[in-house]
Amino acid sequence: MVRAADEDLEQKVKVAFLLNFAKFTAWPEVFWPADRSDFILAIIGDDPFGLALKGVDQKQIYGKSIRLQYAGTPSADLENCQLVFVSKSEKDNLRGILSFTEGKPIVTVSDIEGFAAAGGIFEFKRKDDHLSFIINNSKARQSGIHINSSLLKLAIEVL
Amino acid sequence: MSQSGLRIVMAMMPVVLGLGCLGNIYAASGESNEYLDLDITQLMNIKVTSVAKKEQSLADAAAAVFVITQEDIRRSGVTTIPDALAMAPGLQVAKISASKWSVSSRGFAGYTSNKLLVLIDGRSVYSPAYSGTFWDAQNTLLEDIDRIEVIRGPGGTLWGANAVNGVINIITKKADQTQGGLARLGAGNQEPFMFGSRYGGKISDTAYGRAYLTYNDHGENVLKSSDTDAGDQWQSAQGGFRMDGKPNDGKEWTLQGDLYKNTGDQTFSPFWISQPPFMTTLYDEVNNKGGNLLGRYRQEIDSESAVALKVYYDNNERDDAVFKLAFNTFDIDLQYETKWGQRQNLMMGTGYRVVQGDFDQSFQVSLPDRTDHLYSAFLQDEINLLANTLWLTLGSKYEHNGYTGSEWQPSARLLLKPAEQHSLWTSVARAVRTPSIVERYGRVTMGVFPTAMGIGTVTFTGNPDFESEILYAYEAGYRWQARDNLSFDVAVFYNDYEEIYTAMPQPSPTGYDYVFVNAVSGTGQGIEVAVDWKATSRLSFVLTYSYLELDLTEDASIPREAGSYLLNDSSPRHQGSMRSSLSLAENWQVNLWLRYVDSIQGLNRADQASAGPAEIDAYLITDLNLIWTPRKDLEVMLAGQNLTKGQSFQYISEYSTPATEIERGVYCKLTWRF
Repeated sequence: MVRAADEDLEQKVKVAFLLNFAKFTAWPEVFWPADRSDFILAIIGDDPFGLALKGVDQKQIYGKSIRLQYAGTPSADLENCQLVFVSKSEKDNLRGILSFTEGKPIVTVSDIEGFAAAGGIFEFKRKDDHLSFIINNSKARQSGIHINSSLLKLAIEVL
Repeated sequence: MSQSGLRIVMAMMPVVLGLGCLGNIYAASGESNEYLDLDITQLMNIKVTSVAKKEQSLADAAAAVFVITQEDIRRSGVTTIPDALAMAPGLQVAKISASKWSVSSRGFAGYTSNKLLVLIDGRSVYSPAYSGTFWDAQNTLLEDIDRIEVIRGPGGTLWGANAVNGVINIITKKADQTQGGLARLGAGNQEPFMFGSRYGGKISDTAYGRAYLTYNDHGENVLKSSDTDAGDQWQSAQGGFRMDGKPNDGKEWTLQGDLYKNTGDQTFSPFWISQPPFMTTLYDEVNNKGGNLLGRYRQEIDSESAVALKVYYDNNERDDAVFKLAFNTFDIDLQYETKWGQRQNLMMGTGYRVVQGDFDQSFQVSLPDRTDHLYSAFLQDEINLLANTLWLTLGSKYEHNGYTGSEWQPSARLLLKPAEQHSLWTSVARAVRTPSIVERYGRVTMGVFPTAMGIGTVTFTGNPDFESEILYAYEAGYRWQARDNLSFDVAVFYNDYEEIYTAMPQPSPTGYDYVFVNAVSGTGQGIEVAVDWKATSRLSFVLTYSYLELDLTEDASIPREAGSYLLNDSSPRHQGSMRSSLSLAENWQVNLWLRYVDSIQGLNRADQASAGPAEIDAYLITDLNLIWTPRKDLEVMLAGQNLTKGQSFQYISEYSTPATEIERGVYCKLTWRF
């Protein structure tokens, strides 16, 4: 009658989406020196994924292994991150977080409603019973990030 | 440890050692997120929510529901299913001895507590002999449990008779969620040996399977009266498998089965015999074994309707000094759900169950052999009165059983969601508990005394006119997701009981009989609260509180020595618990569980002649454990149970188990995933 596992499924799928976003995104090389060995995925705020993150650190992006970083609030550490997931718990701090990432080649993702319109790059959006996303491509370009056109085609909306 | 225990340990050794060699391969853990390798179009095709009634989310259930997740079980350090149930509000869980529990919902506690339906993956496991559950026979691998849904209040409309005060749904993981291997090995003073193993693999492109084996040795506690060994140690061994397949979209099947064998010591005191000195103490061994096979098939007919078939066979045998029983159950169940127009969701089903019970008679207990047929059908309609805001669910189950004939169990439920974060619900339902074999046709010896003619006996005697117990339940609740990391759940209930069972003393040619009669009625009311707060990403809390007030009175014809007046005080009025989990450094975690249980009155039926009610003091149980994860695939747990006091006295069995105090337990456990 009740299905708590539904939520787990959604979190697992979201984590898999994150990897795909990274795979189809190109960062400016100057911010990503060749001697860098890892790709940092940061989660700002309460971690909604938990066990869904299991196995992520076994995966690679552009030959670099993924390292997870947790942060309560944005800090100087974030400058080194390539991908930042903003948890729903940070709804009220959204402006501060986005002004911090503004202009930096950091790909921001969130499931907070209106995230892309507010200046985030990927926003998860549920369509019927499936997960999809909105891309703020003009923001991505301003930050020097290039998003592959196949990803843009799949988005339900490109800003 | 017993001889048989040792043999099993020896047999396991090669398996355990074999795993050691594999440990060097630092492969991804079997539990890792299985969606990581999918590409984006595949991900976009995954359904993350379902319209189906059966897959409703917790916030949308118009009932008092609490879910115990696998993570809750892992962090709690519990070693048995009934111990895990103590996490849910509204339930009364007390340990009587190492292998015996009193588990009830909203009152009516007891070893023979009988108003709760317990299902494992849809298979009913309460015993038709007395309508209660032999908890020592339910030992699936704890690591395989996906979740335990605890529904307080009547569930008769969907689940049928015996779901009077609650339903416990124990749901194991699908096979695709348990790929890879797991081995668990542990030892402690109260848990001398704990072993669990599982291996899961892919059977074909669309099917997964797993097999498991578990063996646990549980140590003995002490007698309250003498502080000596209570003779309650027991060993449980169980193995099984589960296969799940999804041949294509919309088709799903499951085949699973278990085999188990448990051996335990138990003490009967007093144990009544037909010769002088009549009243004795018996140190006995109880053996139970059984097996089951369950198949399920579900097919979506179109995007709006689905049909599901479930079939199972269950065998269980129990053998001790006073009774020998064997049950063979066959159950078949067909369900259909469909959308009807824009606003209605219909669910209907029909089922047939045959239960064949064989009993060996003894001087102490006698039950007749029986074969019972149960036919059932149900219909439920969920109507969306206001789009995405207000739902009304109406339904009823109809059952025909061999004892009372036809039984109707209707319910009406209303759910209001004024906003995404708020759910308000209310319901009214009728539920029945149909008679068990002992209440209709049983005989249980409760006393023997010498007379001029030979011996006289006091017995509990079945009554062919015993009817169903009836409940009218009125419930309401509110769930509030205040923030993403903070939620509240409150449920209130008012229960109106009729025809509740008690025993009426009547002179008989050989002494006197306590005859089962439907002669207690009254009300139960209470409130249950659960608060879930993930304070930070490292620290989380779950708080629960339950208040229960029973006001039951027996008919004027029932004399006081029947003891039914004690029903009001045999379940704790206040219960509270706090569980907290703190992640220290990257791979250390501390879990604390405090549980307060109010004082109760107990009555040892066996001592009925001599002893009156016994007061059991309020107690606080402290469980504390430390989990260390030195590597991704390895987990070490050091757990302390029942730490507050060296011993706790939780319940006095109305059956003949002498009063037993549960000892402090400490164990260390290693879990390896590969």
